[in-house]
Amino acid sequence: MKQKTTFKSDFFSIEGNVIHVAGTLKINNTAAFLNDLENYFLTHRGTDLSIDLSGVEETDSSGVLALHLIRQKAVAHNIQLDIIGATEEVASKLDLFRPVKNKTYKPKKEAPFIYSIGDKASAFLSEYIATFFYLVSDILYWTVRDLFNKKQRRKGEFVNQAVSIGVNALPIVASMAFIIGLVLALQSSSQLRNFGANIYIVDLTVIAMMAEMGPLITAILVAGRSGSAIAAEIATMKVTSEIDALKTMGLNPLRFVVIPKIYGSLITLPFLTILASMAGIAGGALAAYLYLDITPEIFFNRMPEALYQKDILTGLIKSIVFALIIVITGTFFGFKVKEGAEGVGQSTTSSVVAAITLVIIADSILGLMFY
Amino acid sequence: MTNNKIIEVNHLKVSFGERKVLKDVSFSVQKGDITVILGGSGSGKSTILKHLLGLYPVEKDVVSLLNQDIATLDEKDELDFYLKLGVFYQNGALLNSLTVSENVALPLEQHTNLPPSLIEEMVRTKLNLVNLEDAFYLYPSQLSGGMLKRAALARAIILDPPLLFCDEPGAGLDPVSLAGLDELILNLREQLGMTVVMVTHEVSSILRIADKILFVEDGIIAFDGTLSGAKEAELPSLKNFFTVGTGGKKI
Repeated sequence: MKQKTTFKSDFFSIEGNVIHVAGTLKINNTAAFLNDLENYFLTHRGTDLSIDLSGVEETDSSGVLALHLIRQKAVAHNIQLDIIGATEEVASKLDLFRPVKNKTYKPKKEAPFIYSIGDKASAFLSEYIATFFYLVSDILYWTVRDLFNKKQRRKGEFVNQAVSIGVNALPIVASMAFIIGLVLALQSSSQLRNFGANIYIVDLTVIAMMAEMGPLITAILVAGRSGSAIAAEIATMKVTSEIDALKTMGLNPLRFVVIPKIYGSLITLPFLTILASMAGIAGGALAAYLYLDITPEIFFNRMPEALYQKDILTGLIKSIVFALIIVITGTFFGFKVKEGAEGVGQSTTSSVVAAITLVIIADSILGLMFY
Repeated sequence: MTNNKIIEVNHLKVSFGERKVLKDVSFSVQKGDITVILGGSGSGKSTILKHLLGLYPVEKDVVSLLNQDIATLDEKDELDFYLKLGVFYQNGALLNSLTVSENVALPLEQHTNLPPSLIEEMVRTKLNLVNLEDAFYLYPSQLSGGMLKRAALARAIILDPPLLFCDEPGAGLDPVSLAGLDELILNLREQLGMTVVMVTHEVSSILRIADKILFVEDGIIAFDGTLSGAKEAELPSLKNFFTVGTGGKKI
């Protein structure tokens, strides 16, 4: 005897133990079809059913896979589900799109962190620290050797890099240094005025800019601007096999790509630092004039008394060290790139973060040394 | 009368600066056909493909796909339009930050409301279809060139698109893998009724699967006809393709 049912669906009708599916069963309505069938199973426990597909006009992979899936789900409801009446077209799709029997399973997770500390520390030391120092020694070797060996040197590349790293950075570095010099003098002026030590604004600005702020601002801006560009360029070259191509053409990638950048930054960063310091001092002079009534004439007359050779040298030595840090860090992370666009992005980010961190650490070490 | 033309291009003209890449290109593609766009390097094949995909702006009444003028699509129509296209890029164009399965599942997750269990089943089935189910949890960087192509094909067909575009699918594949890929494309056409437009240089592949050849030369369609017609054609440059491609000497 046929069982009566009150269950309603847009996709099927129930007649006894047969579910008659009609219309199209495609990706845009498969979810709703599945939902209706599952709801029906909840009201229809324990009885075997058949799905009659003779009314299905059109279907696709989502529709037929939903039918396969619902068969498995029916078992969970203790229902044996048969598929009947499929047209030739639907049957061929049911055959083509079958659930995979031997599924690949997710690889087991790595050992818990506590067990892998040793491995991770060892990998960090060998992958990062050792490689970094190896790269540093290689770069320093080629930096010196390239000076005396003209063969294989890229003509004009040093100038291109000097322009790219140094000259093109001048407007942003100078304007930032000017603003920082101005703000530094401005913040100090009220305290100095309280002690009647207005004139010492000159000493404060000049020493701070020449020995500390000038080199630091320049290095941070160049790390953000050129360090990231170096990392991105090398990482992209590695991903697109350009580095491999250089090697197989008998060219040393370090010498060909990195050494011109080392020269370009070593030459331009000291100049950039001096110019940034001068811009910062000019900013300080403006603040001194506006808030402490110290005219530029008084400011610049006082400058020679405040400016020591040691401070200028400190700034210059710092700028050379920072130049090496920026290029070497960019190169290191460029060469460490993993595959793909995301890898290039990660390398670039890591290089900027690491370069700025190392610059600040080096700045404090050099500051203590030259104090 | 039913219109069986799934693609219609009328007087497509493209210049990059002073250089005229396509002088005047007109052709149509019939539903269910495998159409191969053939031509020398730099002849403008990929430019045609990119115009068909709407990646370059076109004027009204020039390119029509699935009975829609692609110049007049609004935002919603454009999404519906792209859901009907599968594109198989030459280098795979898989997202490196996602696993193979996540790459293939992406269109389903973004554009359908299918339950995750069905999405997983669909991804596994499509990957199995291209013989790559064991790469389910791998990242694109862990795949070989041939595997990348198969993964890209799985992604291109995940929504069962009626229209599949393939940009040099066989480039870099060994002959056996290429034959397998051709077999798969033929199967998809057979089972799903897909229309396939393919840019390729692989003569062995063309001989296996092409229904129709569009030969691009000097910015025009120099030959538009069936595969057997192309093999018999008197056009020297086209003849060379088949002669040299099958191991013969250049005419």
